[in-house]
Amino acid sequence: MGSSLLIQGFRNPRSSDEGEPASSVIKARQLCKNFVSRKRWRKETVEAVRDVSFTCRSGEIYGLLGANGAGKTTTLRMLGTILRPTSGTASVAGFDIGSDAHRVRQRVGFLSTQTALYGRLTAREFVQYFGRLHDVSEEDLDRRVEEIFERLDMNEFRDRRCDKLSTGQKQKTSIARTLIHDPPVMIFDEPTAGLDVLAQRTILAFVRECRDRKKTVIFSTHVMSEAEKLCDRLGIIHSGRLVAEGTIGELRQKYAMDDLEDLFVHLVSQNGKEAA
Amino acid sequence: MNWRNIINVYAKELRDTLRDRRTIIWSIVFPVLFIPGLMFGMIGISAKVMKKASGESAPVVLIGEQNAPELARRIRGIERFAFEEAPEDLDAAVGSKQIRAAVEIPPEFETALANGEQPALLIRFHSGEFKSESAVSDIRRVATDYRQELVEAKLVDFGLGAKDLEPFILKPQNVASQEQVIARSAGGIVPYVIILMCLVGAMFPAIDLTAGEKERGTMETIVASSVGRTELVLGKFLTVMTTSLSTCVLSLASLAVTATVIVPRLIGAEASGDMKEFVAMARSVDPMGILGLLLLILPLTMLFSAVLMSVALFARSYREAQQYIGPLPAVVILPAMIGLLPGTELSFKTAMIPITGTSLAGKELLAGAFDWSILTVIFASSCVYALIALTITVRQFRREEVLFRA
Repeated sequence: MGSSLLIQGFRNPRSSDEGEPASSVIKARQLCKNFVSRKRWRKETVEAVRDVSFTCRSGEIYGLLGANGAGKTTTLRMLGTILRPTSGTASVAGFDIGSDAHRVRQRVGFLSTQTALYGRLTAREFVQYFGRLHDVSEEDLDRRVEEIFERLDMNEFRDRRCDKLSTGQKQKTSIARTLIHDPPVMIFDEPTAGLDVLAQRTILAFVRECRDRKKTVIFSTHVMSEAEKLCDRLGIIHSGRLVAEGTIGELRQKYAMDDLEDLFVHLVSQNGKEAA
Repeated sequence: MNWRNIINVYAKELRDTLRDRRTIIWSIVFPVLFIPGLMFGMIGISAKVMKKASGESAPVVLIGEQNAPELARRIRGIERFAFEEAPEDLDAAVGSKQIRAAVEIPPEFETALANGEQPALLIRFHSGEFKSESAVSDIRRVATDYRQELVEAKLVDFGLGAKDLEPFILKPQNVASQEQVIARSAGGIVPYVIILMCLVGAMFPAIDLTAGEKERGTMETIVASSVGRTELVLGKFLTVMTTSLSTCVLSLASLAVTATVIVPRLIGAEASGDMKEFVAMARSVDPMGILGLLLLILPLTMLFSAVLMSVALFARSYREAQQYIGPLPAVVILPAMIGLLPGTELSFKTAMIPITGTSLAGKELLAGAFDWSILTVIFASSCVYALIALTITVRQFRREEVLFRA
């Protein structure tokens, strides 16, 4: 994507760093999440996330690296207030995810492969709908939609129903949805999973640009190359626990390993033995 | 609670729903075309079948003609009967519908009559088979006339007349208007159909906006936005309620147009008794009665919408939701059918029963009877049930294990 994805000149009135210094926009403190499953009338508690704590600063990309089922999605869903923590808490842009969930959601753009589009709405109707839900005024909304659609090169399919769009066009529409209220915090949960190379590049370019615009970005992935290319700091998560944290350089130095994949496997197997 | 968000969700869901082919078919096309077509089609077809059956030639066997020549002559006088030779196995022939009826006049029939004994005229027929029963009815008519003549002749012998058998007569006097009589006999079907339509109208949007949304992956998209869960539920609930109410209004309008305009023009004088009765009722219905019925239907649409959304939300997919909701029409039909049963009366007790109260009151309203105290009880109790159901739905939407059930 050649042009910038983000819009200059529009500032969300809620995008100022209220309540918290700019250096720590996301603060997770001992987040825990248990799920209860029922098997043949027996209740079983599964600990999806255990005591996860980290901070994420303004203008940085914090990567959550972990295998499938490690607890990345659950952690990000808690930060996005989609799930309530069993214990622990977090603040996003200065607001508590438990007591101020609505204000948190107003300041977060959440994108994952799970966040699908409304197939029977057109791309424009879809983006406008989310703008209205985020309290963007009608005047600003029209302008924002025009600008975003122009920048993302979406005008060709703006009035086409979402279920008729190609994968790349759907991704652009999803990006437009997360941008419409210009949130200061962006949460990406494995946003490139299942996408082709071109669609992946669109997403990764968008993530980088969010950082360049001083947004706080948290990005989960199980793809080492993505983490290496994008993330300023990494948190490695395994079996619901954050087992290591730092910049890629710091992690390499600490564990004396150059290859991120080797480092990841080492940490995961070490923690697997400890847990056993 | 942000009302603007509720309106935003409502407007979006309504637009989305109106673009869903399944909803259009089941909530608009079905009530407008199919239900009146089915109702009048069934009545029309059954009337035609009955008319044809009572007019067509019927193979009949007459045995022992010489035992009562006069009675036999009268039976032979029935024009549509085609008399055939008695087969070997008469019962089998009647059972296999080769012969519609067989009349057997026993030996010494007339002698027994003259002696004051009571001889029996044996009629073989196939019970439950319309053409056989129709033939028996013709035989019965002729035999009864003959018997009446014999009785009257005997009375004359004793110096008595027909009036001596009935020293006084009963004279019931109907004080209800013709409209009320018709509305009470045929009017039960209208609230029953409307209640069912109310459920059908809510069913598909309720599944689509809950389980459908989970299946398509848009539930996570919407709950990650600024809209609150209660606002989301209320917006969706209003959409389901709107389609349910629209289906009711469209069914009612379609029934009215079919009964008052289409049927008289297309069928006219050939309409059967049932259809004539229905047309007469449709024409005599008090518009206030219709309005009252719609008012009572309102909390019922709320109740159905909330219950359907609660149940469907529990499902992981559209198909699973359909399986959960499948038995619901049976649950609704039962209390709604009470209004169709003869002898069931609207009282404060029956008014409190959900659906039944509305069904019975609908019948009364169409007959022009307005008991405001009972109507208020029905409306208020239905509203309470609907609010309870809605509260449960809101709670369901707040439960993560339901919303993200994997």
